[in-house]
Amino acid sequence: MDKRGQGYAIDMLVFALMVALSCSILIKASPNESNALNDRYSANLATSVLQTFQNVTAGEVGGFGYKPDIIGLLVPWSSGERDLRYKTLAQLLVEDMLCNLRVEVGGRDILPLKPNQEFDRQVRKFLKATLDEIIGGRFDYSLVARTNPIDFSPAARVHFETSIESFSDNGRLQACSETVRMCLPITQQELLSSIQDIYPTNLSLEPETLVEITLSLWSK
Amino acid sequence: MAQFQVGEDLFATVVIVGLTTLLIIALAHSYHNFAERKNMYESFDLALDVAGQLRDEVLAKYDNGVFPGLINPMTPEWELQSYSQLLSRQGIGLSIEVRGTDGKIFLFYGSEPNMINQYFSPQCSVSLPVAISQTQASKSLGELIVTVWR
Repeated sequence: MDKRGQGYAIDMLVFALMVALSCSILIKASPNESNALNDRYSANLATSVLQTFQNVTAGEVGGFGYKPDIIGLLVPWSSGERDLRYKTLAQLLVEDMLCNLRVEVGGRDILPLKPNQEFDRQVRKFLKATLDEIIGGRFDYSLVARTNPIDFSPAARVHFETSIESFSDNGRLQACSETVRMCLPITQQELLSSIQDIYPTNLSLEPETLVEITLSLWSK
Repeated sequence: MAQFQVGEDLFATVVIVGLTTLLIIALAHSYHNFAERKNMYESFDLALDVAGQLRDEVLAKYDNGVFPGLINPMTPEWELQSYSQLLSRQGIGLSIEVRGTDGKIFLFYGSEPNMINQYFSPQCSVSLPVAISQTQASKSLGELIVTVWR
């Protein structure tokens, strides 16, 4: 090969190097939309799950019943299992939330005794199984139902809260969080008396006490 | 004027032409992958929009109003047809399927894309959980599967 031939070959090799470089840049520079799309899909999925919770009754996902108890002890004179198959999944979640009064005094949480532990345990197990079925292992989740805190003295406030989670590690980046608001299924008077059962007070509630149900998803 | 020498120069030309061809093929392949991925993202984005509209509006209409997330399996076909036509005017094909958790199909609308369209623009599906209204009291768990293609 003469000198001119060698020159052509070197030119071509340099050209090949540049083309290979541009190919690799093109492959790497594919649209960085996968995260954005994942977030969009997870937000859509979370909205769907919350809507489904508001519409589907427990009877359509295997049914739900429990045996009433008082502070962990079964009630022997009780009429037996209570069938709640006609309630929607969201109603069950809110009822479970009403079993979980949280009291904050001077910035410290006090957990009073739960009035109906068997119901709490059963409903959480039932809703977790349903969430596992709906979300299908695609995401990790945390479903939280809570009321706004109610101040009944300068240092003390109460709220109801329950949560169902598929994991304990909160260090990862959250994909989305969607919230729906529902009216309380009980009257203000009933809510007030459930608080007064534990903390006697002359508390007056705001007329529009709402429940916030928030579903947060994390990519696996 | 340089003299063309059969031998070394011909070999160099063959190598150079071969290399150039290989590189052009590699570049075309990279661009094809890039375009396909971009197309897939756009189709998935579109499928999400369509699924959201179907879930919250088109398939959620009842005599007494619209209930987002609660699918009416008795949605009239003309309603789906008019929505599908809106999309087809923009060159978008649509197929809708609503099925229960047991696999029972409650609603199906649409057609399969033809082979040529599928080669140039692969179809993209989105699946969302929904509630299906069977009777006034019975609302079962189901799945809305929306497939779009261009």
